[in-house]
Amino acid sequence: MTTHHNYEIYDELHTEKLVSDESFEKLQQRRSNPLLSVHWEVKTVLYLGITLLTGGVGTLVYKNIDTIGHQVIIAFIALLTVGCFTYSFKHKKPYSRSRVETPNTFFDYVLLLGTLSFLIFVGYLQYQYTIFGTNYGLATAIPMVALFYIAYDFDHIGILNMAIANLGVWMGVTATPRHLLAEGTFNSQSIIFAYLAFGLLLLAAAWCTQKFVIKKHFKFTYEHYGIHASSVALLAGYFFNYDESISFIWLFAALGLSVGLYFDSFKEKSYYFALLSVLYGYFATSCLVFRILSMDTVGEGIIAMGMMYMTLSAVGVIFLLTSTYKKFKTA
Amino acid sequence: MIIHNKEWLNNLKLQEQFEDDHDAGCLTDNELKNLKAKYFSRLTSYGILMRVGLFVLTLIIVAFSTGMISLVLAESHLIENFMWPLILGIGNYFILEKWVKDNYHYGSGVDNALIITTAGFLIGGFGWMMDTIDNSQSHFISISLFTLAVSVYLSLRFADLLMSALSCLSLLAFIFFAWQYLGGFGMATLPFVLMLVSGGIYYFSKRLIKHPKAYYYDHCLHVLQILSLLTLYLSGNYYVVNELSNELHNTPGAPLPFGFIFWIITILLPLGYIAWGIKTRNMIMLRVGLLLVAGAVYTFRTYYHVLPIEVALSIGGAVMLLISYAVIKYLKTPKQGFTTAPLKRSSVLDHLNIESIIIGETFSNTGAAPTNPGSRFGGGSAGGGGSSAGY
Repeated sequence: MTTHHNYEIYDELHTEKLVSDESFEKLQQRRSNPLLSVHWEVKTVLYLGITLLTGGVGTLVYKNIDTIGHQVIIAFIALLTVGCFTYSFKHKKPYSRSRVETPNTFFDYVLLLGTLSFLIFVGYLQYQYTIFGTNYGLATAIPMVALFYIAYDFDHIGILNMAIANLGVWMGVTATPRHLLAEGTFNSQSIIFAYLAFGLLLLAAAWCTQKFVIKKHFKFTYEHYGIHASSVALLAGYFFNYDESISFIWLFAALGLSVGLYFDSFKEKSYYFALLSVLYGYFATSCLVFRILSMDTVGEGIIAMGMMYMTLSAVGVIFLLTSTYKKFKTA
Repeated sequence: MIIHNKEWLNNLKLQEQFEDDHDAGCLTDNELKNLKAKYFSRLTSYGILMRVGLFVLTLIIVAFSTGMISLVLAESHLIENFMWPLILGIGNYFILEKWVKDNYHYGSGVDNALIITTAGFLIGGFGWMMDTIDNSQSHFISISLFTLAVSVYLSLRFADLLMSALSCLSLLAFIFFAWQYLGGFGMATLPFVLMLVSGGIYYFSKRLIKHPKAYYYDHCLHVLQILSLLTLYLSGNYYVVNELSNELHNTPGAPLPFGFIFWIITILLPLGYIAWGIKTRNMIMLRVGLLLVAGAVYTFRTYYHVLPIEVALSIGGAVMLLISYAVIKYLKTPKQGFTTAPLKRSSVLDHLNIESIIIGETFSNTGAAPTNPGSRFGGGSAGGGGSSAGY
């Protein structure tokens, strides 16, 4: 409900036939019995509850490992996992290639709790008994496969996010952008290539969801991580090879990717991806311009030139963004 | 007073209402489209990510263009004077007026950025001026009063949310600095005066929002309500009062006299907000109350370590799960006008899957202990899109 909700206007609109009888009836009902939704509040509390509980129990176990004993802990975690999955399978709706609505809000979080405890379970077995030996590929592949299975079978985008992150781990990188930037993991060529492959794989996955009509609503998640991973990898490749002439190939690849994604976003009608591609493309262009400016043929005027470039280019990007927005609006 | 075209503003408000009724399932898609066409508005606003992007770009433009002008004028000693930021502020203001009038921007990111830079230049210049006139003492009182005047004017002129927030905070800052001049009496009564003023702001904005003259300012008044509820709590919170009083009296570590009063406020006020919010169906109060429960718990734990942290976390988490489970069960069919069903709205939050991204971010370390549960709305890599241009 808005602050100055004007229900009187509907009387007039109803006589003008702009509002149908059925809608008018519903509006009158809403007027006499307005409903407030606490959907997001409950979800937030649920999310916080799960975060605190898993964090708290995890720390508790870690601190008391000597007195409790490993078997007890493993049994407890296994029991929790089994319990959550029993509930989830009982209430689950059958698999479908399109979107499946969740049975209720609580269901999603029980599933999340079950998945988390399953991951802890596998991690614990590996840490304590090293059941996979030193075969870390296998140790990370099993949770990953399980996560992808859960995400698709139960139609849970949150778990799909975790599965993608695990895919990144499996491919030898930490996938969440936060870690990437904070820990500055870009110190070797092979990691950059792995990350680039990861990003391109995700973009391909995004394309496949549309092409083969499998869970079309998962496309956003794949493309979101795909754009960030591949763009950041290409730019990192540029800075890593800064002193060699090969660096320009990385930069132009980044530019090319942005341009391609920009035009692709029109087909998908996703303004978010248009925005991202413009900003990554702008960053790459600015890198190029400053590289040229710093080649010291310009001399003294470089500061003024740089300032001029920043001002004018920012104006240009604003006009590009707003005109793109208009195209999306009218399309 | 307000700069925008009144008819378009009215239509914008009506469009908001139509969308709200559409989200509630009372209007069909086609009806919404027709109604929006009938009550059209040329005022331009964008989604949150676009706004952030344009905001950052505008700040870049202002920073580098003023830098360039200053560089050109550096020889003339004109820029070494407090007049320079004031001139820049006035210039900024005229560009802002022209931009908004020509492009009909209303919360597009560009106007928001120009409003902030205008206020920033003017307030910075004023502070510099006061310091030039008399640099023997600090000028918190006059600066906060000047900030209040500037931000109130800009809020009224552009119905800008951030300026409304700034007006609220600068009024409180003014009271804070002025009341200290009363000496010992002022010091002792400071928290109560601030609480009284916050309560007054809340009451004022609550009353005013229904007034026809405040028709275009309902979002601004919502900001005032949220902020005043928060400051009302913070001025009575034990931790804040204790730290501030020790800071002002130069007595670090001393316990607070009449501390029990503040403990009562610290613990009971959030619960009061929640209860009152539910009773009066006031979502703002309910949400602020929920948020402040965390504040109360944190304050309590700062002084009393009754339980080890991990036990407290586990119990707290379990209690939260139980409460939300109970609420979902209880509201399975809507009661007292409350429901847990989602609104149909495909809002930005749903659209960008913020929730799932956060789950991915916090749990991706294969379920290790989460370090910062408070970042529910802070993290999220979606914001990275805006920051990549702000290098």
